[in-house]
Amino acid sequence: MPEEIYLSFRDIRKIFPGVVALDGVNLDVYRGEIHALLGENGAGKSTLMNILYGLYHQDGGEIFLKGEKYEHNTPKNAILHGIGMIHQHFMLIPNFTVLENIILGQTSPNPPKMEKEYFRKEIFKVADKFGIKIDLDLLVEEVSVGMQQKIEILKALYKGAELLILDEPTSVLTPQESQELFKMLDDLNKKGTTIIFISHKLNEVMQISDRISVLRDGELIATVSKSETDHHELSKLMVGREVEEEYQKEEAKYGEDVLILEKISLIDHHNHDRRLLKEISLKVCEGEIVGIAGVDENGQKELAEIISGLRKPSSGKISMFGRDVTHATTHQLIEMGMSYIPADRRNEGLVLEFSVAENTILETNYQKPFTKGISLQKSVITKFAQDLVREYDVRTPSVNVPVRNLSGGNQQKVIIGREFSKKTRFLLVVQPTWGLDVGAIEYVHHKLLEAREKGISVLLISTDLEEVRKLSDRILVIYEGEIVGQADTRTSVSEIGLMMAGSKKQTVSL
Amino acid sequence: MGLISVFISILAIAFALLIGAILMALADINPWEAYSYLLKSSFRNRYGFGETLTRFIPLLFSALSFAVAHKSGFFNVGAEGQLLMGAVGAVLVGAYLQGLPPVLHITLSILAGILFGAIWAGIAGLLKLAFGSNELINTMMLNYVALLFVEFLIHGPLKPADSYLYVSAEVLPSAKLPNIFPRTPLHLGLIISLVVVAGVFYLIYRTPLGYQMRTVGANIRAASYAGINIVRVTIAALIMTGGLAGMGGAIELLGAQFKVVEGFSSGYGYDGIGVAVMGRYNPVGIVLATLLFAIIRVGTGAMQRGAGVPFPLLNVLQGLIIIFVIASGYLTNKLTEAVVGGRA
Repeated sequence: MPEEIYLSFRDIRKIFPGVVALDGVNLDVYRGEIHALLGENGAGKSTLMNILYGLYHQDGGEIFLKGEKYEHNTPKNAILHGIGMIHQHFMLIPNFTVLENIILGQTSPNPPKMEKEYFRKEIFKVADKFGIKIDLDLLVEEVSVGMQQKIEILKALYKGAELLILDEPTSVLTPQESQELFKMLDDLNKKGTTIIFISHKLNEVMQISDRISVLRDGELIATVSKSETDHHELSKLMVGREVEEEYQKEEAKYGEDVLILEKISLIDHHNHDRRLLKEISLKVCEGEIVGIAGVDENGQKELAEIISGLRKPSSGKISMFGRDVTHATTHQLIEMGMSYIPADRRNEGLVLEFSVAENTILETNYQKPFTKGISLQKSVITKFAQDLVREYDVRTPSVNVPVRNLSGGNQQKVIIGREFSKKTRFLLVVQPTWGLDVGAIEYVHHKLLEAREKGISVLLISTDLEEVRKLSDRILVIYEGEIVGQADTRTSVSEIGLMMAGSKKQTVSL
Repeated sequence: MGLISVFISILAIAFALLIGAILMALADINPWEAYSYLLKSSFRNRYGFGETLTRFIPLLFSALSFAVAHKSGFFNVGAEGQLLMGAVGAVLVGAYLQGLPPVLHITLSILAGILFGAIWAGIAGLLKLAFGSNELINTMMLNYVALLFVEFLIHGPLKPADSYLYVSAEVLPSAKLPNIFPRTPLHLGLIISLVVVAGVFYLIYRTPLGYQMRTVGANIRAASYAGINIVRVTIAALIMTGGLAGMGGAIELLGAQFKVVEGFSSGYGYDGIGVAVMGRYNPVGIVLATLLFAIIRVGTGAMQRGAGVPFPLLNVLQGLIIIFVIASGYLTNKLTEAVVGGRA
């Protein structure tokens, strides 16, 4: 039986200043299928969908919807044509109720009265049809992220979406929440909704989609049926070469304790004395990678700030290399041998306006040989940066270009090069591969394992569970500012996932 | 790249002058006559030239003051007040400390000016560090405090008993900066100001302290993550920004005016902001922009007298030049992007 083509892209081109984001993309989506768009960051997946939804305009090519040419793409027109898009960042107003958020921008049949009861019935009809259960009177700020996503989906369905586009929907979810989402998408699909699912995660794509289109560097590489492909082929298509699945790790050679946290708590006095961290105790020793897994915003940021001396704990004690450093400044910790690769490389790790060379001396600028007498030694710094760029394979036309012009992966390499070329004994790493492509991720991971083999102690804080499992010798799970569980590389993903969702507490011993 | 940006700036100024010409024509003024007065007053005779360079000096200091603060992430619109306080500091030493050899007397007077200016900026800075209060508001308000404080001083404590004018005592001959261009008011301050420009930019671009100041200014979070002591760096920046403005006031006093009078500064501190922005915060740019402003300052008087250009229109002209040059900066950036290529 021939499939009915619901949507097709013909030769779509999109150029951003200096970059070809989409280069002649042809893609057909069948009615009633779940179609995954797979690709690395920057491959053009979101750009293509944003063009369809009318957030960007193509520089060339045409879109056909249900056989007719679809022009004048604007979000409003997209909604009229039954296209709904769920963005990575939700477009909800936190202090409005679910109902209010869904009807935002809708006109009541009897204006100017806002007939909530009328809308309530209408929304119930839609929710009932698709089997979605949501309490419409809750405030959005009170519900979980997974629930917010459901609200977004219901909102789109209520506005009459026949085609749902989800942009990296699982990036904010726990594994369990992701499974719930997949089940929901499956149900919607059975009731006739066509779904386009943007992702860079192979597992998800293999689990949920009927067909998969792979994008790489703005080109559509292939469209394949799920039944005719496998992980291996997809990852090759996505990256353009073979990818390592597991890392070869040397047996850990544990040395002395480097970092010890004892009952660290943090209370936010500006916000109703909320407890951001609750009696966190942990230790990291030489030659070990300890991973802290958890869903975003469960205290990881605060924990990293406290360990790096940027923020002081409300109570508890921290020691590093056997010294009490609870009150030490970041500068003192760095002098003692701490290196820090922060989560937000663009705002915390680098000064974007500065050149690559200037960014390599952020912490060491006043030391010899970079400073002699009162003067910075330009030639020494340039030479140092050139060596660093070569050794860490940073792709840049020269060390004098602003670091802003580098890609995310190369920016991260600059930070890694800077931190690794100091005498590091303790390495604090937060979200080191966020937003990087597969090649750069592998590179960063290898560098972290190299550090471990050199006997450096590494504390890795990441919301990417795969990453934590691949690299860590021990895994601690953080949930609502508390360490709720401990695991090792043999613990299953689902078990760690349960801990990440806070539903499985176990007593933790150091 | 530098040449292109200079070229584009000149083009921008030409455009601004063109629009100014249209406005003048609309007001029934012959624009060519008006512009010829503008140029003649600075370049036709020796005195005008010296006068222009004399105006150049305090303007350069206040532009530097703003640029240093800007580079360190501190928005100091208080150069006007700091400059006045610097003049007060300098007059205290220059007029009342007797029996010193000239070199020492001048040096001490200038140091007093630096100190007073730095303290004045420091008040706003400490308020920011301690309470997080907005330095823009504070430095601006302190301008009025300084202005009124100076008025108080010249009406009372600093007014010489034999004077019927509201002025301070005159600085002693041993504290006066020597003239360097006879038959004009131009004094040694010009050389000092150019040396200071070089020194300031050396400090900012070639020393670790300057590097740290720029880091704090460009990205305060990255600076704290790198362990840079933000309080220390900010205090250094405050001392510099206030000190430079204060030094400008001191040198204007010791070289040009010799007495603190009402209207001593006449807006040098505010013009410095426009100059620094126009000069794109780089040394050559600032020197050129300062020169342009000095020419305009001297020339507008002649335009008013000679061609009858109303004063508000002169302000408009000055504003047009600033806007066009700043806008051309964005154009230069776009051009650079188009040529070199954007982010990959």
